[in-house]
Amino acid sequence: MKRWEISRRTVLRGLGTAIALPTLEAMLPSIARAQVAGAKPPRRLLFYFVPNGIYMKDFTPDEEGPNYSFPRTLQPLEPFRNDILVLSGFDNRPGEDVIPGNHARGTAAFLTCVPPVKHDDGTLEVGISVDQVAAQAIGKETRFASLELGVEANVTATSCDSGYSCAYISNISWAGPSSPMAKEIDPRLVFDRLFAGGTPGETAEQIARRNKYKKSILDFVSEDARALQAKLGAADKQKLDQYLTGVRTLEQRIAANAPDAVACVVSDAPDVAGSRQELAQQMADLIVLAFQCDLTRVATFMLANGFTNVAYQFLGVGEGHHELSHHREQSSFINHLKQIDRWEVEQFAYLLGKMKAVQEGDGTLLDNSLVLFSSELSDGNKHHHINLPVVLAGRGGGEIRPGRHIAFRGAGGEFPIADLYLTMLANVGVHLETFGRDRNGNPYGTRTLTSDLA
Amino acid sequence: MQSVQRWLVAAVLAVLGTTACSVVKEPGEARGDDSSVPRTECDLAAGRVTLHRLNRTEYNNTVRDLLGVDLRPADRFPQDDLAHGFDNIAEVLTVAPLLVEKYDDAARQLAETALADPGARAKLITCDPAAMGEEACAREVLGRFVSRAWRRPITEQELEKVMGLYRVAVEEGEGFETGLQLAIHGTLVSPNFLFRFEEDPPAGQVRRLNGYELASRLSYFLWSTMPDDALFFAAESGQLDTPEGVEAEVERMLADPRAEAFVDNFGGQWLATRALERAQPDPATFPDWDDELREAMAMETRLVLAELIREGRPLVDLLDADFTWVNERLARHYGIEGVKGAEFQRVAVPDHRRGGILGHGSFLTTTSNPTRTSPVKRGKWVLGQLLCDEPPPPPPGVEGLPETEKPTGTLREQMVAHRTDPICASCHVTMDSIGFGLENFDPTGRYRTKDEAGFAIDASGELPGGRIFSGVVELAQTLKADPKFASCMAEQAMTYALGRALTRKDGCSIESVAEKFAAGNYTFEALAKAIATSEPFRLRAAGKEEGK
Repeated sequence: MKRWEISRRTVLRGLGTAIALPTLEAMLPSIARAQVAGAKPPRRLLFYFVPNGIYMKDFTPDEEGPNYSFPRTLQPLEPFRNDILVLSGFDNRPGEDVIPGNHARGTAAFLTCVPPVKHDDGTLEVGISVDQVAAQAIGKETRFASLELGVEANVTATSCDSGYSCAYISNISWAGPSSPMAKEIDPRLVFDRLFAGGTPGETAEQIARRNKYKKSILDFVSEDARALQAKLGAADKQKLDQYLTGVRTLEQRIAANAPDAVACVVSDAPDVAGSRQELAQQMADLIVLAFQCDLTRVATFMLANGFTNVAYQFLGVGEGHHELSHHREQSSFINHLKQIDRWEVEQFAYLLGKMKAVQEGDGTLLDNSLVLFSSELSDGNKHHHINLPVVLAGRGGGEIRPGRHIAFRGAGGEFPIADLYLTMLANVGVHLETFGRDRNGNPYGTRTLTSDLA
Repeated sequence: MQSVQRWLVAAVLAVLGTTACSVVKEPGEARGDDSSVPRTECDLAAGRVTLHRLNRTEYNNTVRDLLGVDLRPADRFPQDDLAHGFDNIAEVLTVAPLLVEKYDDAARQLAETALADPGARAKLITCDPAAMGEEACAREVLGRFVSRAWRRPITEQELEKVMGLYRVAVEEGEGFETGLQLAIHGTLVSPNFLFRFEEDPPAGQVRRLNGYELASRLSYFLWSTMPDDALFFAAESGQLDTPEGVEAEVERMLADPRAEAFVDNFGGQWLATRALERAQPDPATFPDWDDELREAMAMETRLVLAELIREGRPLVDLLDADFTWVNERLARHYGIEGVKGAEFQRVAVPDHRRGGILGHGSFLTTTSNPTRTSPVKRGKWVLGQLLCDEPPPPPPGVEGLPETEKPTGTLREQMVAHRTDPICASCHVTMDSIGFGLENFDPTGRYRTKDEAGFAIDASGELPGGRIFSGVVELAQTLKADPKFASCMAEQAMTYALGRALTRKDGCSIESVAEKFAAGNYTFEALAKAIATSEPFRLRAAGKEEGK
């Protein structure tokens, strides 16, 4: 005898987004720590991911050197000719394998350059990503060691790519082999997080007390976690290690005497985004703001999740993105795919425009950054992990000389994208001998390319 | 490469009807010697769930029931990842620093709200600090609160440590209110709250879960929330130590409205209604499509599953029910007459065309591409979700092969390579047959007799074993007669109940659960009882050694 009646409330929680305009435009120039006292502006790293590859025939310039002409897909970047390097010929072979799952592997290997492992029980096994290597080295300088942002919700039913764990397509940032750095997809939550904390007019005594309370709670839970750890097996300990890492991050935030972010902004939080494009641009605004206010120096952004089959209906493209990427050389599919590619590049251009508009010392925020644009594949139709679409924007504080198309392939040998990551790490003062590993277990990236790019 | 699950299905079928389970036993595996656990041929069935953190749904429900405030703070948490079709699989419920930060924020907000909201406060503070003394009252309040929050009795030392947080505020001169707030905050960020702890037995051994651990397993399985007082009492009194006691609790829990959570969380994922959120039928091709229709489709499947569960009807009727639930909007879409208004009504569908999951808009839409149907996706979904026999991904080099010829003819003609190439055919013959059997439904589930290109639909097909069918009704009956359907339902529910992937070692337990499910006329109550009293649900094996 059953007594309950099922309620008739809404089943689908994600429905009903209101249309509204972003208000971040209203933000005033910052008075960030990054700019005071005549100090050299800090250097930042940003990794910008687009899924499902790019139709390369319309992406790779024909000519090399400074006077190349912009292929159709790249044209939105033409105003930034002197701020970007188009780099062709980079590979990310750790994402390759003979079995299906190229999107999952490519996305998980995107910034890790380590072959992701498919475990039947769902266990995650890849490597640390380049942004997290940077965050662990330079993240203590800022309130947030790194930011992980995206726009697309995770898959909510059945499987992801060919039996690989869904975490492999929804994350590009990994703090360790089984520790994805979950991303935020709601600009309002990002805003709250960046600029929360601190009631205006709080006295030093009140702040000290608040920090004491915070610390006593973190001490309490760490002690709890350590007591439990003694009773647990290896896999469980790993979970608690992840937890303790999170607790330590919060402790550091108190200890670091973080700059008062509230002073950096005088505006309201963004409104609910009405479209993917608004969402992407609000996120770009937030990344720029976080850099500008020196809240973080490392960020990753996913313009959609790997393997996404989202339909960009506002572009007049009805088919899903992944479906289109398998165009089988049909021109109607290719044309729609190119529309998406171009839109993705436009969003990237929007971000660069915002970064360039922020003055820092003698240059701009973009000059003090390195911003990488790429995808988990080159040709999505054939699932190629070589000859990736790569744009590197910014001057890295002057060490990098943009304004060229450099074709690495053909110069002899292979060019792992891990070499580029080593170069980017070196630019922020993190000097590693190698990065990532190939499918035979050998180091994948083994050199920096600073001289090639200088 | 065959997945364990596929292997498992084969193994289960191979031993069906026999009592020997040697097929699924791992040779050379260490055995536990805990004498309290009965030894059988299937004695390694305990399995082990990795430390299970609450997922977003479980967190929201748990703090609602713990504090009596409906803040839904987990809506602000990063999304949980999915594995094996569900978002409660412990292995992939990782803990990013961002999540810990959100836990801290949520706990602060919850503690503040619980003390400020009169109803919640009255439930929490049951003593008078002025009469009793502040410290003594705080101790009483926290003793009960922490024990409920951590879903087990707490020790004197544990309470002392929580009181330590209370005293930090007292030392700062802030007293009772702030002290409680800090203590509640700390309790909710503690791993004891965020994770469902089950102590490991010594290496190589198996232990029976204690009553509290089992109470949590039951409540998160059937309710997606913490145990209620009755369940705690059942744990304390030893009622959960016997299968009969567990069954009595299952019965009680299924009669409780909280069981709706199972329909939403298990059903919403197994039957893909949640995936409707992301469905994007092309507006140019389907100008009719809107959020009202999307929502109605999700509701239909939810109401049908809820009715089967609540009314004790055989769950296998999911394939050929003689009823469904529609409102005016969905009825119009389906071509069912006489339904008015936004309210959902139960309608008889005597021809069965719409009376089963294969005729539901939810399934038909979420397995289509935005502009056209995908017989492959539909077939794959039926095989994977309903028969637990998902075909392996295509072999290397097949995906995305360029085809220069412009496709012509019916979809069936275009996909001829799936049948003529022996490598493709091994999987696609079955997959495509099922999909083509559903071609009478367009990408949004409307009934049709001609496809997108104007060709007449041929919805006939053949499944392995010479099972010939034509159209959705015969296809549904063919699938319902397949013993894999019921055993797959058992597997899916068990994966969800345990929060982990099933392995070869679970083979005997699945078989036994499937048998009890069948013997109980396929009611959900029979299935839930069989799972709740199964060894994997009640036992825990030791973890892998360090370094594997």
